[in-house]
This record gives sequence, structure tokens and C-alpha cells, in this order.
Amino acid sequence: MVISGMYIETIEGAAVEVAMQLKNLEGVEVHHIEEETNKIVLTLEAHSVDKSYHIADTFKLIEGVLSTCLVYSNFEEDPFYKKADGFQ
Amino acid sequence: MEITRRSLLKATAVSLTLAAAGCKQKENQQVVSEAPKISTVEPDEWKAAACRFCGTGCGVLVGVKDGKVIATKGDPDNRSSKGLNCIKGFYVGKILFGEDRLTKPLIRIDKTKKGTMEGFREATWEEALDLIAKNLIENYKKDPKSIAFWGSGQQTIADGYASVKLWKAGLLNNNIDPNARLCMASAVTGFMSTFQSDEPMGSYRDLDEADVYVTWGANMAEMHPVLFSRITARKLSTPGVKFYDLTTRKSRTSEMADTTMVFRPQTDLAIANAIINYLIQNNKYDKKFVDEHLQFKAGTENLGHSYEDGYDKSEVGAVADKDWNITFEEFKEMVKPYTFEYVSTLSNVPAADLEALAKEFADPNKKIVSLWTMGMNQHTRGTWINNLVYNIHLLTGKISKPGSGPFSLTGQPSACGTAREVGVFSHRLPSDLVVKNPEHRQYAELVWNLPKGYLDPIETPGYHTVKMFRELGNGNVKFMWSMSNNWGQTMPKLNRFRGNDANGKGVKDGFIVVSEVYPTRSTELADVVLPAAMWIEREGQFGNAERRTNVWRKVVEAPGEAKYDIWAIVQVAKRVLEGRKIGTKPAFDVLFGNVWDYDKNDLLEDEYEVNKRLFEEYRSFTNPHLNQNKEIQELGKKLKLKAKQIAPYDEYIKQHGIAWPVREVNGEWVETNWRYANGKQEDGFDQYGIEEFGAAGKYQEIDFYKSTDHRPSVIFRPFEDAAEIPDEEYPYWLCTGRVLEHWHSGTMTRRVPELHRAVPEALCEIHPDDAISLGIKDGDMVKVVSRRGEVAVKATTKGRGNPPKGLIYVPFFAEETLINLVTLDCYCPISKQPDYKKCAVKIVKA
Repeated sequence: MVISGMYIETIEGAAVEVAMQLKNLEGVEVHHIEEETNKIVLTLEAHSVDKSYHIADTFKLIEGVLSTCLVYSNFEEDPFYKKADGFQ
Repeated sequence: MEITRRSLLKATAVSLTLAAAGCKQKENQQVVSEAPKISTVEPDEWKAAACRFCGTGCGVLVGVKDGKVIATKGDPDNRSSKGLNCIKGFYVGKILFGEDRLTKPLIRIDKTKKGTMEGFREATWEEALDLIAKNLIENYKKDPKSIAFWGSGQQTIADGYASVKLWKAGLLNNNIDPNARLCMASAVTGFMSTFQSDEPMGSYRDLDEADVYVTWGANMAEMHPVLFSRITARKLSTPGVKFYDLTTRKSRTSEMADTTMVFRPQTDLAIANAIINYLIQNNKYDKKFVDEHLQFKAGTENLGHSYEDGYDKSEVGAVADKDWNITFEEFKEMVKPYTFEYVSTLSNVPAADLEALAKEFADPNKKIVSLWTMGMNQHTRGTWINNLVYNIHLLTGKISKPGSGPFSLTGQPSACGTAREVGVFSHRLPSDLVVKNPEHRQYAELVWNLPKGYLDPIETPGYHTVKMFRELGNGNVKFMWSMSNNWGQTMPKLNRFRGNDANGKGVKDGFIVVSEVYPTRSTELADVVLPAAMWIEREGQFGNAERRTNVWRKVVEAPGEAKYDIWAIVQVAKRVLEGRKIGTKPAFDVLFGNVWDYDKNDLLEDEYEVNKRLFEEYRSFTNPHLNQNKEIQELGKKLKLKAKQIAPYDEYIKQHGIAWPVREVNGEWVETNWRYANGKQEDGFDQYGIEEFGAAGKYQEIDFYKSTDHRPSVIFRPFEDAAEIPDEEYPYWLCTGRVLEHWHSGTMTRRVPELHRAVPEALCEIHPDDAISLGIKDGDMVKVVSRRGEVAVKATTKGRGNPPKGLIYVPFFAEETLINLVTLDCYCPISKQPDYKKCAVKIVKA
């Protein structure tokens, strides 16, 4: 699985509502909601980097989402990278 | 086992994300307790790199385990991005793996197939390099003006430096220019004419502290998302923070704005003057700042437009950059006609909106950041609109202070570091030096160990980019080498520069070398294609928009026979400089002997060592005081070279990037965030620059020590209309640009399947009313036609952006939708940067 850590910024006061919707998305787990700064910290698990991007790209469709910031991505098990044998 | 690995990876992800988001870590106790185990899933080593895409210069840590890259994460120690990457960060590794990577040199054997990837054969490097050198020398001997090099804001700093040295000192030729001419040149001439010093004085830190943000032709939400997230964070956390978006088309950036001002193309010149006029007429400018810090100027007007090849030498073209001092009273009279009412009529922006923005600048207590990219730079009066925005910030004193300043963003990862700082321009030398200044040439001669007067033959600037390609088309440039760019797709008026027009035939006849990583619309036009190593397949350096230099190490091998560009440059230098002398010594030894292994007769094998030696040599331009040569010390001091002081190479690796000027303070190398502002160096101010070249205690603790008489110029620049205006026959404005998913001409991002699927084709955004009047439905194919060419593209009224009536928008990333067949190659008469944002087109159903 490809595991990524990212945070979402929302409009004022929307963090909790947005987090509720994010939780329903495949592979998304919300770990922290900081209402004062309108931020949501989540992890995303998906089969591949492509799938991760596809899911993360839908975050912006949720009303109140301003931006998605990717912080970490471990793609050791992505089939694409396995095929390419990492960067070798 | 899997659950353990998953939970550990997730704990790592949560821990890093909490830290990057600046959230409290109280929920993180579980992560802490599992910390020892996390090491089992962590890479063996994290290597620091800079992102390969835009000019933000985000730090990326590349995780390597058992010799493979297994993870990437934002680099928390990179002070530009503070641990953040945008969503494209997912793919920065994947760009290496397109199935059609170029892995062997290619030599064209059938010139009739030029314009396609047919008619090539694979070759050895030796064959390719010999052929390049032979053609370069033959043409050079016939006519030195017939050779040219087209570099890039995507070359590394050392690549750019080596190309400049080969062309300017080796071949004594100024026909070298970068693709940054297409994106940053107006910013450069704006900086130089106003401040006599290139690059922004502020820092990304300003984004965290401003009260008002103004975007002047910049879709930051899509093009600089990491920086935009800092603005949104500030806006959401601080009541009263305002955001004004000045644009010709509503974009995602507009969604965040309090006020979006959609103006008629080109009238940004008038809008800026209206703000200036309001400030002066109402005594809302900072009088003391004006008295102590500024001078006033006017310049050549009625510049006309550069439709013809001979424009630069025309009566007006030859003096386009002339300016002269005027009094403040004269300046005041010149801006007087620009009332809100008049400018509202010109621009279609409500007078009340213009006034609201002017009042923000008039408020002495508000900190304001202006930001811009191509909307201002790709403009037939690009230098002027840059000057005008500086005028506003200078008159109000909103500059060189935390949270306040004009900030020119860059589009490419090293437009600043490479193209500008080491001087890959037809008129420049490293470190803000220019070829036409005898003392500047003398300084370069001293650093490069050249005899006095050796560089005199390059006192006249060479061909700028548009001129270079026009002369290639005319058959006067017969040899061209392009590196890290894609002119066959991104030059305007492409029918000429792809050799389809009669005055472009020389493109087909000339000898063209293209150094590339993938087949592109430019390799189609090549006679030799050199396969290049990219990003972390090599050691490299980029310099970003806030003057931060980043160095990264080689992590993996390049595929096949691909080589890093420095190797190719020095190999060609070895061949073409054979037999030439500088003084009594072989020219090659003088210029590149320090990176040559004479035993192996090859470039030094150690890439780190090659890059370090080239970088340190470039660095010596900026540290005259460290040189043993007294002449260098004295001339360097006179020319204020230390104002761009660069740190030792290894320090950049240690600190994960540093913003120049970098000062040595008690053994530590400390960056500068606000140039010309007095204050503690450790807090980001320009303490040592002020100490050496200026004076403390001046008004607001600012001394513009690089400017003539320490006074930047407020230059009057009038409104003059665009080069081509819609008329009855061609009734629509065409604006071109980018989309979030694809970077520039799509060479890298279109090799990433998911990005390609996300935005598989270029679309023509059109206003719904225009679509109705033309009988066009969403998804219909239309032809966008100009006086220069046409292109078929799918229309949409529901695109990401919303153009106003009378304007369409088409991105340029798609090689099958060459919108630049339609665009115009008229350029700013001062910066020579073409305008991709305005020309007249008609739309017909395909």
C-alpha cells in the first residue's frame, strides 16, 4: 500500500464538517482536527500513487476545502515502482 | 506483519504531517511510543533535493532504502517550503520513468524528415560530439554571428555557468539566451531600471505577515499552490486581511479574493497609474520616503511594436530603454490624466474597485504584498508594468519590510539561480554584470584569468531569444544548441519557428542540437539529439524566486547512455577550443582545466567535485574580499559584488538551501530575507550589506545601496495599447497559460499517466454568451484562427477558469494542440519578452 500524510485547510469554521466527509472517502483516516486554524491532518492509503492522487484530487470537491498539502508519501509498494525496481 | 508496517508508516505520516501543519502534538503520544520501531520502515537515508517543477523551489526529501527510492516527503529544513509540497509532489519521482526516455544520442540522417522523429539513427557519444563540434566550428569560422545557444531556467546553476563560460569566454560570442527570456525578462529589466539590481528584495516570509495581498496577473492557486496555501492560512487566521485579484480571466485564485478586478487586456498599465495618481493627488504617499529614498524619471514613449525583424535597430526601438531624470512635480503632472473615471472606461473595472485598492495602499498602517508572474511579464510593455508596481510600493514605502513588498514570482525552478544569477543572457555576465560595461568585463576577465581586454569583443549584446529564432528562420543563425527547453512548442508564432513559413525556412536548413530527456516537438526539429540525465540522476543546484539556492546530490543512475549536461558542454568545449590560445596557454586549460582529468582525458568522474568547483568559481565573483588578487578585491568592492554574496557549496547541502546575500557571522553562514533593510542579520535583515555599502539610521532603516545615488527610480510609464487588438475580422482576445496538472509544455507531466488522465487534452475556455452567439456547444471542436495560424481545440464553457465575454483561454501544455501556431511574437521593446497573453483571433466551428 502507498501511505501518505497530508493536511487540508478549510474555510473558517468548516474543519469539522469537512472532516466528516473526508472520513467517508476510501482509504482516508482523519487523525487530527484543529478548529482554531481550520486544519485537518489525515492519512491516505491506496494501492498506488496514481490511486492516491485520484482520491486526493477529489478533496477539492468537498465544500469548504481550500487546499491540500502533501507532506509525506511512502510508495515502496506501488506496483509502478516495483516494476521499475525503484529508481534503479 | 502487514498491520505493524502499516501502523508504523501511518504513525510516521501523522507525526510528520502534524509537524508540517504546525498542529499541537497532544494526540501524538502513540506515535512517540512507537518511535523506535518506526526506524524499521524508514528509508536508510533521506537525501535533500529541490522539486523539479515550478519556481517556488520546495524542498523534497528523497528516501532511499537498499539503493532504491521508496518515499518522498516535504523537507522541513527547507526554509522556502517548510515541509510542504503541492499535490504534484506525488509525481516528482515518476517523471523519470516515462517509457520513451531518450537513452542514446541520435543523429539525423534524413533532413527531409525534419519536423518528425523519423530520419534519425542511433549514434555513439563520440560521433555525436564530433559532429556537433565540426558544425559549430565551421559555422563560427564563416560567421561568428551564425552560432547560438538557447539555455534555460531549468538548467542547473553549474550547467548555466559552464554554458556561459564556453560561449562568452571560449567562443567570445553573446548569442546565448535562456528560455527565461520568455518568462522572466520583463521582471529583470523592471528590477534593473528601477533598482539597478536584479531579483526581489523580500522573502516568502512576507506571505505570512501581510494585511493585503494583490495578485497582478498570477493564478497562484494553480501555479504556486504551496505559496498560495500560506496566503490562505494568513487570511483565514487573521480577521481583516484582504485579497485583490487583478486578472483578465477569473481563475481558482479569484475564488479566494475579496475583490476580483477583471480588466481589459493591457489596461493594467492604466490601473497602476490610477493608483499612483490617487496617492499623489490626495497626498497619501509617504513624503519622507520620497524625499530620502527616491528619484523620478521619464522614459521613451510611443514605442510602437516589434512586428518586424529590424525593430531593435529602428529609430524608436534603439532608444526604447532610455530614461532621464524629471522632478516630482513633472511626474505628478504626467500621471494626472489617470483618474479612476478615465481608467474605469479603459479597463472596464468599476471605479469604486479601483479606489478601494488605491485606499489600501494609501493606508500607512497596512502591510501589502504584490505578486505577479506571466500576466505582467509576458506583456509588450512588460518592463513598464513591473516599473509601475514598483512605483506604487516605493511611493508608499511598502517595500523591504516584513509583510510588505513587490514580489515577482518565477515560473521555472532556476530562472533566478541559473538564467539570471550566472548570466545566461545575451547581454549579461555572472552576478548582475553586463557585457557593455568595461569594468564589468574587466572583473570577469580577472576572475576567469583572462588577459586584460580579452572580453572586449563581447561588448555588444548578442541575439535575444525572439531575434535568435527569427535569424534562425532567416537562415542567418546556422548552428543552434538548445538545452532543457522546448522551443518547438513554446515559441510564439510557431509556424515561422517550426520552419513552415517562408521566413522560417532556416530552421529546416540549419544544424540544431537538442539536449533532452524525452522526445519533444523540439527534438523533431533537431539534427542531433543528446540524451540528458535529469533531476536526481545527477548532482545539481537551483535558485528560486526568493533568492534561495538549493543543492541536491545524485541519488540514482541515469538510464542507458544519458549523461548530465555539464559533461556534454565540457566535451564540446574540449573539441571546439582545440588549438586556441588564451595568452600563451591552451584556451581549454584556462577555462575548464579545473574540472578536467588529464590522465583520463575526460571530465572529472566525481560529479560532486565538478559541480562544487564550478559553483565555487561562480561564487568567487561574489566574494572579492576573499580573493588573493588585489585588483579583484578593489574592483569587486567598487562594483559592490558582495551585495550578492554566496556561501560555500557545502553550506547549501548542510542548511538545505540559503537565500543570498549570505553573510558569515561568527563562523555561521546566515541568509538575508529583506535586502536593503537594516536590522539583525540573524533576524533576516541586511545588516552587513547596509554596514558595508549603505548607512544605518536612514528613514525606516532602509538604504537602497545598489541603486544609483542610493535612490531607486519612480519612472513614469504611460498606457500604450496592445500589439494586436480584436477587430471585426478577429474579434476575440486570446490568452494562453498553464493548468495545475501539467508543467509548461508537458514533457514531464504528460509521461505520468494519472496527470495525463486528469487533464488529457487542452480545452478552449469560452464565455457562455460567446458560445451561444457562435452556435458552439460544450465539447464541440472549434478552430482558433489568427493572422499567423490556426489550431483545432475542444471548446468548454465550464472550464476551470471563467473568461469574460470577448476573451478565450487555451493552455499550451499539449503538443498536439499547438496554440503557439496562433500567438504573436511581438515583445516588450526593453525586455524583449514576447506577449503570450494577448492577440486577436476568430473562432470557427471545426
